[in-house]
Amino acid sequence: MRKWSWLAIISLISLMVICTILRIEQTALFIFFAAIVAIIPFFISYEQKKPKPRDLMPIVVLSALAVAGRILFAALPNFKPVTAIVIIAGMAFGYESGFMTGALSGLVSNLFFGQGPWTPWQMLAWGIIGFIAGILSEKHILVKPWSIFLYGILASFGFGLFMDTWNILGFVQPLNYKNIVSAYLLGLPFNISHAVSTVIFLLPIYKTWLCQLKRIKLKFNLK
Amino acid sequence: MQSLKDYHPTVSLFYFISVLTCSMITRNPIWVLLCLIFAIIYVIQLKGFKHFLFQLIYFLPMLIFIVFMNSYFNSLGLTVLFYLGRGSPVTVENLTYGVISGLALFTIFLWFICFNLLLTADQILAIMGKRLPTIGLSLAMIIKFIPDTIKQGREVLLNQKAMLGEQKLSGKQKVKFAARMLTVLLCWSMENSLETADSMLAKGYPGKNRINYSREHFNSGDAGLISTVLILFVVHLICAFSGPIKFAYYPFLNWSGLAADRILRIISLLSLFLILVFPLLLDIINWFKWQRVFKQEQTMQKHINNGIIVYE
Repeated sequence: MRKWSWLAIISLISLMVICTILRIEQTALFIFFAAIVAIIPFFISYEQKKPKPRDLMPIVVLSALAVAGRILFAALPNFKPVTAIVIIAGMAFGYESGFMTGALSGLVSNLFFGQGPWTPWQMLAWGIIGFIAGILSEKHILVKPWSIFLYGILASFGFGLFMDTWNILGFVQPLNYKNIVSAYLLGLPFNISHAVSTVIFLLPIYKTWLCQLKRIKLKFNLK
Repeated sequence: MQSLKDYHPTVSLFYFISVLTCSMITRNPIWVLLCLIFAIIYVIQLKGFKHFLFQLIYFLPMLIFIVFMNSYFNSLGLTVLFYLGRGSPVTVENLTYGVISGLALFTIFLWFICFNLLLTADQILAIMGKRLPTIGLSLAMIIKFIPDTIKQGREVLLNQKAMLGEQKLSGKQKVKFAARMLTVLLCWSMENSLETADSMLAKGYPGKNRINYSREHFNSGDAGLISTVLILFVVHLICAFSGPIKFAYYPFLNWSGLAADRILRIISLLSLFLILVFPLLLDIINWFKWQRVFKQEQTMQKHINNGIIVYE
Protein backbone atom coordinates (compact mmCIF):
# COMPACT_ATOMS: atom_id res chain seq x y z
CA MET A 1 0.00 0.00 0.00
CA ARG A 2 2.77 2.37 0.98
CA LYS A 3 4.58 2.02 -2.32
CA TRP A 4 1.45 2.65 -4.37
CA SER A 5 0.53 5.64 -2.28
CA TRP A 6 3.90 7.28 -2.78
CA LEU A 7 3.68 6.49 -6.47
CA ALA A 8 0.25 8.14 -6.72
CA ILE A 9 1.40 11.29 -4.93
CA ILE A 10 4.65 11.59 -6.86
CA SER A 11 3.01 11.06 -10.23
CA LEU A 12 0.39 13.71 -9.43
CA ILE A 13 3.11 16.22 -8.58
CA SER A 14 5.18 15.36 -11.64
CA LEU A 15 2.07 15.75 -13.83
CA MET A 16 1.59 19.22 -12.36
CA VAL A 17 5.20 20.13 -13.14
CA ILE A 18 5.06 18.75 -16.68
CA CYS A 19 1.79 20.54 -17.48
CA THR A 20 3.23 23.80 -16.17
CA ILE A 21 6.48 23.53 -18.08
CA LEU A 22 4.82 22.56 -21.35
CA ARG A 23 2.16 25.25 -20.85
CA ILE A 24 -0.62 22.85 -21.69
CA GLU A 25 -3.93 24.61 -22.15
CA GLN A 26 -5.89 21.85 -20.39
CA THR A 27 -3.78 21.87 -17.21
CA ALA A 28 -6.80 22.55 -15.03
CA LEU A 29 -8.66 19.59 -16.51
CA PHE A 30 -5.78 17.13 -16.33
CA ILE A 31 -4.66 17.81 -12.79
CA PHE A 32 -8.23 17.96 -11.50
CA PHE A 33 -8.95 14.43 -12.69
CA ALA A 34 -5.45 13.32 -11.70
CA ALA A 35 -6.20 14.39 -8.13
CA ILE A 36 -9.32 12.23 -8.12
CA VAL A 37 -7.36 9.31 -9.59
CA ALA A 38 -4.61 9.75 -6.98
CA ILE A 39 -7.09 9.05 -4.19
CA ILE A 40 -8.20 5.76 -5.72
CA PRO A 41 -5.18 3.55 -4.80
CA PHE A 42 -5.63 4.50 -1.14
CA PHE A 43 -9.33 3.66 -1.24
CA ILE A 44 -8.82 0.39 -3.07
CA SER A 45 -6.08 -0.85 -0.77
CA TYR A 46 -8.27 0.01 2.21
CA GLU A 47 -11.15 -1.83 0.60
CA GLN A 48 -9.04 -4.90 -0.14
CA LYS A 49 -8.01 -5.28 3.48
CA LYS A 50 -11.69 -5.99 4.30
CA PRO A 51 -11.46 -4.42 7.76
CA LYS A 52 -13.74 -5.70 10.52
CA PRO A 53 -16.36 -3.23 11.77
CA ARG A 54 -14.29 -2.70 14.90
CA ASP A 55 -11.26 -1.54 12.97
CA LEU A 56 -13.46 0.78 10.99
CA MET A 57 -14.61 2.65 14.04
CA PRO A 58 -11.58 4.82 14.90
CA ILE A 59 -11.69 6.32 11.42
CA VAL A 60 -15.43 6.84 11.57
CA VAL A 61 -15.44 8.44 15.01
CA LEU A 62 -12.48 10.73 14.42
CA SER A 63 -13.87 11.84 11.06
CA ALA A 64 -17.24 12.52 12.65
CA LEU A 65 -15.57 14.59 15.38
CA ALA A 66 -13.57 16.50 12.78
CA VAL A 67 -16.63 17.24 10.65
CA ALA A 68 -18.72 18.18 13.68
CA GLY A 69 -15.96 20.57 14.75
CA ARG A 70 -15.77 22.07 11.29
CA ILE A 71 -19.52 22.63 11.30
CA LEU A 72 -19.46 24.24 14.76
CA PHE A 73 -16.66 26.63 13.77
CA ALA A 74 -17.94 27.30 10.26
CA ALA A 75 -18.55 30.97 11.00
CA LEU A 76 -14.84 31.72 11.42
CA PRO A 77 -12.99 31.76 8.08
CA ASN A 78 -10.59 28.88 7.67
CA PHE A 79 -10.72 28.09 11.37
CA LYS A 80 -11.10 24.32 11.36
CA PRO A 81 -10.13 21.55 13.75
CA VAL A 82 -9.87 18.95 11.01
CA THR A 83 -6.09 19.17 10.58
CA ALA A 84 -5.47 18.72 14.30
CA ILE A 85 -7.76 15.70 14.54
CA VAL A 86 -6.34 14.12 11.39
CA ILE A 87 -2.80 14.45 12.75
CA ILE A 88 -3.84 12.73 15.96
CA ALA A 89 -5.61 9.99 14.00
CA GLY A 90 -2.46 9.34 12.00
CA MET A 91 -0.31 9.28 15.10
CA ALA A 92 -2.58 6.99 17.08
CA PHE A 93 -3.76 4.54 14.42
CA GLY A 94 -1.06 4.53 11.76
CA TYR A 95 -0.65 6.07 8.35
CA GLU A 96 -3.47 4.23 6.60
CA SER A 97 -6.07 5.25 9.13
CA GLY A 98 -4.62 8.74 9.04
CA PHE A 99 -5.16 8.98 5.30
CA MET A 100 -8.67 7.56 5.47
CA THR A 101 -9.67 9.89 8.31
CA GLY A 102 -8.43 12.90 6.38
CA ALA A 103 -9.95 11.92 3.08
CA LEU A 104 -13.32 10.91 4.50
CA SER A 105 -13.62 14.04 6.66
CA GLY A 106 -12.92 16.11 3.57
CA LEU A 107 -15.61 14.32 1.59
CA VAL A 108 -18.26 14.33 4.32
CA SER A 109 -17.70 17.91 5.42
CA ASN A 110 -18.22 18.97 1.82
CA LEU A 111 -21.53 17.13 1.78
CA PHE A 112 -22.56 19.79 4.32
CA PHE A 113 -20.73 22.80 2.90
CA GLY A 114 -21.28 21.93 -0.77
CA GLN A 115 -19.00 20.03 -3.08
CA GLY A 116 -16.75 22.04 -5.33
CA PRO A 117 -13.60 21.71 -7.37
CA TRP A 118 -11.80 21.88 -4.05
CA THR A 119 -13.21 18.55 -2.80
CA PRO A 120 -10.57 16.18 -4.26
CA TRP A 121 -7.79 18.56 -3.24
CA GLN A 122 -9.05 18.79 0.31
CA MET A 123 -9.45 15.03 0.53
CA LEU A 124 -5.96 14.49 -0.78
CA ALA A 125 -4.36 17.23 1.33
CA TRP A 126 -5.89 16.08 4.61
CA GLY A 127 -5.22 12.48 3.69
CA ILE A 128 -1.55 13.18 3.07
CA ILE A 129 -1.31 15.12 6.34
CA GLY A 130 -2.62 12.08 8.22
CA PHE A 131 -0.47 9.73 6.15
CA ILE A 132 2.75 11.61 6.89
CA ALA A 133 1.81 12.01 10.55
CA GLY A 134 1.44 8.24 10.76
CA ILE A 135 4.78 7.58 9.12
CA LEU A 136 6.60 10.16 11.23
CA SER A 137 5.22 8.80 14.47
CA GLU A 138 6.12 5.30 13.35
CA LYS A 139 9.71 6.49 13.10
CA HIS A 140 9.44 8.12 16.53
CA ILE A 141 9.94 11.61 15.17
CA LEU A 142 6.62 13.01 16.39
CA VAL A 143 7.06 12.42 20.09
CA LYS A 144 7.95 15.69 21.76
CA PRO A 145 5.17 18.30 22.01
CA TRP A 146 7.12 20.91 20.08
CA SER A 147 7.57 18.53 17.15
CA ILE A 148 3.83 17.86 17.05
CA PHE A 149 3.04 21.59 17.06
CA LEU A 150 5.68 22.26 14.44
CA TYR A 151 4.22 19.52 12.25
CA GLY A 152 0.74 20.97 12.79
CA ILE A 153 1.87 24.41 11.63
CA LEU A 154 3.77 23.04 8.65
CA ALA A 155 0.83 20.83 7.70
CA SER A 156 -1.59 23.76 7.81
CA PHE A 157 0.62 25.85 5.54
CA GLY A 158 1.19 22.89 3.26
CA PHE A 159 -2.57 22.40 3.09
CA GLY A 160 -3.07 26.01 2.03
CA LEU A 161 -0.36 25.83 -0.62
CA PHE A 162 -1.77 22.60 -1.98
CA MET A 163 -5.28 24.07 -2.16
CA ASP A 164 -4.13 27.16 -4.04
CA THR A 165 -2.11 25.18 -6.54
CA TRP A 166 -5.02 24.14 -8.76
CA ASN A 167 -6.26 27.71 -9.19
CA ILE A 168 -2.80 28.99 -9.98
CA LEU A 169 -1.59 26.25 -12.28
CA GLY A 170 -4.87 25.88 -14.09
CA PHE A 171 -5.96 29.45 -14.60
CA VAL A 172 -2.85 31.61 -14.66
CA GLN A 173 -0.69 31.36 -17.73
CA PRO A 174 2.18 31.78 -18.38
CA LEU A 175 3.62 31.22 -14.93
CA ASN A 176 6.77 32.80 -13.63
CA TYR A 177 8.21 32.88 -10.14
CA LYS A 178 6.76 36.36 -9.42
CA ASN A 179 3.30 35.06 -10.24
CA ILE A 180 3.57 32.01 -8.09
CA VAL A 181 5.10 33.72 -5.07
CA SER A 182 2.61 36.57 -5.02
CA ALA A 183 -0.33 34.23 -5.49
CA TYR A 184 0.76 32.18 -2.51
CA LEU A 185 1.41 35.34 -0.48
CA LEU A 186 -2.16 36.50 -1.11
CA GLY A 187 -3.38 33.28 0.48
CA LEU A 188 -1.17 33.77 3.51
CA PRO A 189 -3.77 35.31 5.89
CA PHE A 190 -6.04 32.29 5.43
CA ASN A 191 -3.16 29.93 6.02
CA ILE A 192 -2.13 31.75 9.17
CA SER A 193 -5.69 31.48 10.47
CA HIS A 194 -5.63 27.77 9.66
CA ALA A 195 -2.29 27.24 11.40
CA VAL A 196 -3.46 29.13 14.48
CA SER A 197 -6.62 27.05 14.64
CA THR A 198 -4.63 23.84 14.32
CA VAL A 199 -2.39 24.80 17.22
CA ILE A 200 -5.33 25.97 19.31
CA PHE A 201 -7.06 22.64 18.83
CA LEU A 202 -3.92 20.58 19.29
CA LEU A 203 -3.03 22.36 22.51
CA PRO A 204 -5.72 20.91 24.78
CA ILE A 205 -6.21 17.56 23.09
CA TYR A 206 -2.93 16.12 21.88
CA LYS A 207 -1.76 14.67 25.18
CA THR A 208 -5.02 13.36 26.60
CA TRP A 209 -6.39 12.15 23.29
CA LEU A 210 -3.28 10.16 22.43
CA CYS A 211 -3.35 8.66 25.91
CA GLN A 212 -7.04 7.77 25.75
CA LEU A 213 -6.80 6.39 22.23
CA LYS A 214 -3.98 4.14 23.38
CA ARG A 215 -6.16 2.95 26.25
CA ILE A 216 -9.08 2.23 23.94
CA LYS A 217 -6.80 0.44 21.51
CA LEU A 218 -5.64 -1.84 24.31
CA LYS A 219 -9.08 -2.31 25.83
CA PHE A 220 -10.82 -3.27 22.60
CA ASN A 221 -7.81 -4.95 20.99
CA LEU A 222 -7.85 -2.74 17.93
CA LYS A 223 -5.25 -3.03 15.24
CA MET B 1 -39.23 11.29 -20.21
CA GLN B 2 -38.34 12.69 -16.82
CA SER B 3 -36.07 15.52 -15.85
CA LEU B 4 -32.41 14.64 -15.38
CA LYS B 5 -32.78 14.55 -11.62
CA ASP B 6 -35.14 11.57 -11.78
CA TYR B 7 -32.77 9.35 -13.72
CA HIS B 8 -30.30 6.96 -12.17
CA PRO B 9 -27.51 8.80 -10.30
CA THR B 10 -24.81 7.44 -12.60
CA VAL B 11 -26.52 9.28 -15.45
CA SER B 12 -26.27 12.60 -13.64
CA LEU B 13 -22.70 11.82 -12.57
CA PHE B 14 -21.67 11.01 -16.11
CA TYR B 15 -23.44 14.06 -17.48
CA PHE B 16 -21.73 16.20 -14.90
CA ILE B 17 -18.27 14.82 -15.69
CA SER B 18 -18.72 15.39 -19.40
CA VAL B 19 -19.98 18.93 -18.94
CA LEU B 20 -17.11 19.71 -16.57
CA THR B 21 -14.60 18.36 -19.07
CA CYS B 22 -16.17 20.39 -21.86
CA SER B 23 -15.87 23.58 -19.85
CA MET B 24 -12.27 22.97 -18.85
CA ILE B 25 -10.96 21.74 -22.16
CA THR B 26 -10.34 25.09 -23.81
CA ARG B 27 -9.89 28.79 -23.26
CA ASN B 28 -11.50 29.68 -26.54
CA PRO B 29 -13.87 32.54 -25.66
CA ILE B 30 -16.81 31.17 -27.64
CA TRP B 31 -16.63 27.76 -26.02
CA VAL B 32 -16.10 29.20 -22.54
CA LEU B 33 -18.95 31.68 -22.87
CA LEU B 34 -21.33 29.03 -24.22
CA CYS B 35 -20.64 26.84 -21.20
CA LEU B 36 -20.97 29.84 -18.88
CA ILE B 37 -24.35 30.86 -20.29
CA PHE B 38 -25.78 27.39 -19.81
CA ALA B 39 -24.30 27.09 -16.33
CA ILE B 40 -26.00 30.37 -15.41
CA ILE B 41 -29.29 29.17 -16.90
CA TYR B 42 -29.21 25.97 -14.86
CA VAL B 43 -28.25 27.70 -11.63
CA ILE B 44 -31.09 30.18 -12.08
CA GLN B 45 -33.50 27.40 -13.01
CA LEU B 46 -32.54 25.30 -9.99
CA LYS B 47 -31.90 27.91 -7.31
CA GLY B 48 -33.27 31.22 -8.52
CA PHE B 49 -31.80 34.49 -9.65
CA LYS B 50 -31.00 35.75 -6.16
CA HIS B 51 -28.76 32.81 -5.44
CA PHE B 52 -26.94 33.36 -8.70
CA LEU B 53 -26.29 37.02 -7.84
CA PHE B 54 -25.05 35.95 -4.42
CA GLN B 55 -22.64 33.51 -6.03
CA LEU B 56 -21.46 36.17 -8.45
CA ILE B 57 -20.65 38.60 -5.64
CA TYR B 58 -19.02 35.80 -3.68
CA PHE B 59 -16.88 34.91 -6.68
CA LEU B 60 -15.82 38.46 -7.63
CA PRO B 61 -12.64 38.54 -5.48
CA MET B 62 -11.53 35.31 -7.13
CA LEU B 63 -12.18 36.76 -10.59
CA ILE B 64 -10.20 39.89 -9.74
CA PHE B 65 -7.41 37.72 -8.36
CA ILE B 66 -7.13 35.71 -11.56
CA VAL B 67 -7.30 38.75 -13.85
CA PHE B 68 -4.67 40.47 -11.74
CA MET B 69 -2.38 37.44 -11.70
CA ASN B 70 -2.64 37.09 -15.45
CA SER B 71 -2.08 40.70 -16.41
CA TYR B 72 0.15 42.21 -13.75
CA PHE B 73 3.08 39.86 -13.97
CA ASN B 74 3.48 39.16 -17.63
CA SER B 75 4.31 41.47 -20.48
CA LEU B 76 2.93 39.29 -23.26
CA GLY B 77 0.60 40.82 -25.79
CA LEU B 78 1.15 43.65 -28.24
CA THR B 79 -1.72 46.07 -27.67
CA VAL B 80 -0.65 47.98 -24.56
CA LEU B 81 -3.50 49.55 -22.66
CA PHE B 82 -1.80 51.12 -19.63
CA TYR B 83 0.86 50.56 -17.01
CA LEU B 84 -0.13 49.50 -13.53
CA GLY B 85 2.39 50.76 -10.99
CA ARG B 86 5.79 49.24 -11.51
CA GLY B 87 4.42 46.08 -13.08
CA SER B 88 4.45 44.96 -16.67
CA PRO B 89 2.15 46.62 -19.18
CA VAL B 90 -1.50 45.60 -19.12
CA THR B 91 -2.40 44.60 -22.64
CA VAL B 92 -5.68 43.76 -24.33
CA GLU B 93 -4.38 40.21 -24.76
CA ASN B 94 -3.46 39.36 -21.21
CA LEU B 95 -6.54 41.15 -19.88
CA THR B 96 -8.76 39.08 -22.18
CA TYR B 97 -6.99 35.90 -21.17
CA GLY B 98 -7.43 36.76 -17.50
CA VAL B 99 -11.15 37.49 -17.84
CA ILE B 100 -11.81 34.36 -19.88
CA SER B 101 -9.83 32.20 -17.42
CA GLY B 102 -11.72 33.68 -14.52
CA LEU B 103 -15.04 33.06 -16.23
CA ALA B 104 -13.99 29.48 -16.95
CA LEU B 105 -13.36 28.97 -13.25
CA PHE B 106 -16.70 30.62 -12.45
CA THR B 107 -18.40 28.20 -14.85
CA ILE B 108 -16.90 25.28 -12.95
CA PHE B 109 -18.11 26.71 -9.64
CA LEU B 110 -21.61 27.08 -11.08
CA TRP B 111 -21.59 23.50 -12.40
CA PHE B 112 -20.72 22.30 -8.94
CA ILE B 113 -23.70 24.18 -7.49
CA CYS B 114 -25.93 22.32 -9.95
CA PHE B 115 -24.14 19.08 -9.09
CA ASN B 116 -24.88 19.49 -5.39
CA LEU B 117 -28.58 19.76 -6.16
CA LEU B 118 -28.58 17.03 -8.78
CA LEU B 119 -26.73 14.40 -6.77
CA THR B 120 -27.88 14.29 -3.19
CA ALA B 121 -25.85 12.77 -0.36
CA ASP B 122 -27.81 9.52 -0.39
CA GLN B 123 -27.24 9.10 -4.11
CA ILE B 124 -23.49 9.62 -3.70
CA LEU B 125 -23.59 7.00 -0.95
CA ALA B 126 -25.53 4.66 -3.23
CA ILE B 127 -22.97 5.02 -6.03
CA MET B 128 -20.05 4.53 -3.65
CA GLY B 129 -21.67 1.71 -1.74
CA LYS B 130 -21.89 -0.48 -4.79
CA ARG B 131 -18.24 -0.25 -5.84
CA LEU B 132 -16.59 0.45 -2.48
CA PRO B 133 -18.80 -1.14 0.19
CA THR B 134 -16.50 -0.52 3.15
CA ILE B 135 -15.99 3.13 2.33
CA GLY B 136 -19.68 3.58 1.62
CA LEU B 137 -20.46 2.09 5.02
CA SER B 138 -17.88 4.34 6.70
CA LEU B 139 -19.37 7.40 5.03
CA ALA B 140 -22.88 6.47 6.10
CA MET B 141 -21.72 5.93 9.66
CA ILE B 142 -19.81 9.22 9.76
CA ILE B 143 -22.93 11.05 8.63
CA LYS B 144 -24.92 9.27 11.31
CA PHE B 145 -22.38 10.01 14.06
CA ILE B 146 -22.12 13.77 13.42
CA PRO B 147 -25.45 14.78 15.01
CA ASP B 148 -24.88 12.21 17.77
CA THR B 149 -21.51 13.74 18.55
CA ILE B 150 -22.84 17.27 18.62
CA LYS B 151 -25.74 16.26 20.87
CA GLN B 152 -23.51 14.35 23.25
CA GLY B 153 -20.99 17.22 23.23
CA ARG B 154 -23.70 19.61 24.47
CA GLU B 155 -24.59 17.17 27.21
CA VAL B 156 -20.97 16.74 28.29
CA LEU B 157 -20.48 20.50 28.34
CA LEU B 158 -23.54 21.00 30.54
CA ASN B 159 -22.41 18.30 32.95
CA GLN B 160 -18.89 19.64 33.22
CA LYS B 161 -20.23 23.14 33.79
CA ALA B 162 -22.57 21.89 36.48
CA MET B 163 -19.64 20.34 38.30
CA LEU B 164 -17.83 23.68 38.32
CA GLY B 165 -20.63 25.58 40.01
CA GLU B 166 -20.01 29.29 40.34
CA GLN B 167 -16.24 28.94 40.00
CA LYS B 168 -14.47 31.33 37.63
CA LEU B 169 -11.70 29.83 35.50
CA SER B 170 -8.33 31.33 34.70
CA GLY B 171 -6.75 30.98 31.27
CA LYS B 172 -4.84 27.81 31.96
CA GLN B 173 -7.78 26.22 33.70
CA LYS B 174 -9.95 26.98 30.69
CA VAL B 175 -7.61 24.98 28.46
CA LYS B 176 -7.73 22.15 30.95
CA PHE B 177 -11.52 22.34 31.06
CA ALA B 178 -11.72 22.18 27.26
CA ALA B 179 -9.30 19.26 27.23
CA ARG B 180 -11.35 17.34 29.75
CA MET B 181 -14.60 17.99 27.92
CA LEU B 182 -13.20 16.96 24.55
CA THR B 183 -11.59 13.85 25.99
CA VAL B 184 -14.82 12.76 27.64
CA LEU B 185 -16.56 13.29 24.31
CA LEU B 186 -13.91 11.26 22.46
CA CYS B 187 -14.07 8.37 24.92
CA TRP B 188 -17.85 8.29 24.88
CA SER B 189 -18.08 8.27 21.11
CA MET B 190 -15.29 5.71 20.74
CA GLU B 191 -16.80 3.24 23.17
CA ASN B 192 -20.29 3.83 21.87
CA SER B 193 -19.20 3.18 18.31
CA LEU B 194 -17.26 0.07 19.26
CA GLU B 195 -20.37 -1.32 20.87
CA THR B 196 -22.19 -0.63 17.63
CA ALA B 197 -19.44 -2.45 15.77
CA ASP B 198 -19.71 -5.46 18.06
CA SER B 199 -23.44 -5.66 17.60
CA MET B 200 -22.95 -5.39 13.84
CA LEU B 201 -20.58 -8.33 13.98
CA ALA B 202 -23.03 -10.27 16.13
CA LYS B 203 -25.75 -9.70 13.57
CA GLY B 204 -23.46 -11.11 10.90
CA TYR B 205 -22.31 -7.93 9.23
CA PRO B 206 -19.81 -9.03 6.59
CA GLY B 207 -21.99 -11.99 5.62
CA LYS B 208 -21.96 -13.26 2.08
CA ASN B 209 -25.71 -13.34 1.71
CA ARG B 210 -26.13 -9.73 2.73
CA ILE B 211 -28.08 -7.75 0.16
CA ASN B 212 -28.70 -4.06 0.24
CA TYR B 213 -31.84 -2.30 -0.73
CA SER B 214 -31.35 0.28 -3.40
CA ARG B 215 -33.95 2.73 -4.54
CA GLU B 216 -32.32 3.28 -7.88
CA HIS B 217 -32.48 0.81 -10.72
CA PHE B 218 -30.54 1.16 -13.89
CA ASN B 219 -32.95 0.65 -16.77
CA SER B 220 -32.93 1.01 -20.53
CA GLY B 221 -33.93 4.66 -20.37
CA ASP B 222 -30.84 5.44 -18.32
CA ALA B 223 -28.66 3.47 -20.72
CA GLY B 224 -30.12 5.35 -23.67
CA LEU B 225 -29.48 8.70 -22.05
CA ILE B 226 -25.92 7.79 -21.10
CA SER B 227 -25.08 6.54 -24.58
CA THR B 228 -26.53 9.66 -26.20
CA VAL B 229 -24.45 11.91 -23.97
CA LEU B 230 -21.41 9.68 -24.49
CA ILE B 231 -21.66 9.88 -28.28
CA LEU B 232 -22.05 13.66 -28.22
CA PHE B 233 -19.19 13.94 -25.77
CA VAL B 234 -16.80 11.84 -27.85
CA VAL B 235 -17.75 13.72 -31.02
CA HIS B 236 -17.09 16.99 -29.28
CA LEU B 237 -13.73 15.80 -27.94
CA ILE B 238 -12.54 14.57 -31.34
CA CYS B 239 -13.66 17.69 -33.18
CA ALA B 240 -12.39 20.02 -30.53
CA PHE B 241 -8.94 18.48 -30.32
CA SER B 242 -8.47 18.33 -34.07
CA GLY B 243 -8.39 22.05 -34.67
CA PRO B 244 -11.25 24.49 -34.34
CA ILE B 245 -10.80 24.85 -30.62
CA LYS B 246 -7.43 26.55 -30.92
CA PHE B 247 -7.30 30.17 -30.00
CA ALA B 248 -4.06 32.07 -29.67
CA TYR B 249 -4.00 34.91 -27.15
CA TYR B 250 -0.38 35.89 -27.64
CA PRO B 251 1.17 37.86 -29.23
CA PHE B 252 -2.23 39.13 -30.39
CA LEU B 253 -5.74 37.71 -30.31
CA ASN B 254 -5.82 35.32 -33.20
CA TRP B 255 -8.88 33.49 -34.47
CA SER B 256 -6.86 31.36 -36.87
CA GLY B 257 -8.19 28.18 -35.32
CA LEU B 258 -11.70 29.23 -36.16
CA ALA B 259 -10.90 29.81 -39.80
CA ALA B 260 -9.18 26.46 -40.09
CA ASP B 261 -11.98 24.05 -40.62
CA ARG B 262 -15.52 25.16 -40.98
CA ILE B 263 -17.28 21.81 -40.82
CA LEU B 264 -15.37 20.59 -37.79
CA ARG B 265 -16.03 23.86 -36.04
CA ILE B 266 -19.75 23.62 -36.64
CA ILE B 267 -19.91 19.98 -35.57
CA SER B 268 -17.92 20.69 -32.43
CA LEU B 269 -20.02 23.67 -31.41
CA LEU B 270 -23.23 21.83 -32.24
CA SER B 271 -22.29 18.80 -30.14
CA LEU B 272 -21.32 21.02 -27.23
CA PHE B 273 -24.60 22.90 -27.56
CA LEU B 274 -26.56 19.65 -27.62
CA ILE B 275 -24.78 18.34 -24.52
CA LEU B 276 -25.45 21.57 -22.68
CA VAL B 277 -29.07 21.91 -23.74
CA PHE B 278 -29.92 18.30 -22.90
CA PRO B 279 -31.43 18.72 -19.39
CA LEU B 280 -33.29 21.82 -20.46
CA LEU B 281 -34.74 19.90 -23.39
CA LEU B 282 -35.88 17.13 -21.08
CA ASP B 283 -37.57 19.67 -18.84
CA ILE B 284 -39.29 21.39 -21.75
CA ILE B 285 -40.62 18.10 -23.14
CA ASN B 286 -41.82 17.28 -19.66
CA TRP B 287 -43.57 20.59 -19.31
CA PHE B 288 -45.47 20.14 -22.57
CA LYS B 289 -46.48 16.65 -21.56
CA TRP B 290 -47.87 17.84 -18.26
CA GLN B 291 -49.59 20.71 -20.02
CA ARG B 292 -51.42 18.18 -22.20
CA VAL B 293 -52.40 16.17 -19.16
CA PHE B 294 -53.76 19.28 -17.46
CA LYS B 295 -55.76 20.13 -20.55
CA GLN B 296 -57.32 16.67 -20.62
CA GLU B 297 -58.11 17.04 -16.97
CA GLN B 298 -59.83 20.35 -17.60
CA THR B 299 -61.96 19.01 -20.43
CA MET B 300 -62.86 16.07 -18.25
CA GLN B 301 -63.90 18.44 -15.49
CA LYS B 302 -66.01 20.41 -17.95
CA HIS B 303 -67.77 17.26 -19.08
CA ILE B 304 -68.44 16.30 -15.50
CA ASN B 305 -69.86 19.76 -14.79
CA ASN B 306 -72.08 19.57 -17.87
CA GLY B 307 -73.30 16.15 -16.86
CA ILE B 308 -71.89 14.32 -19.84
CA ILE B 309 -69.81 12.00 -17.66
CA VAL B 310 -71.33 10.88 -14.41
CA TYR B 311 -69.19 9.44 -11.67
CA GLU B 312 -70.79 7.01 -9.32
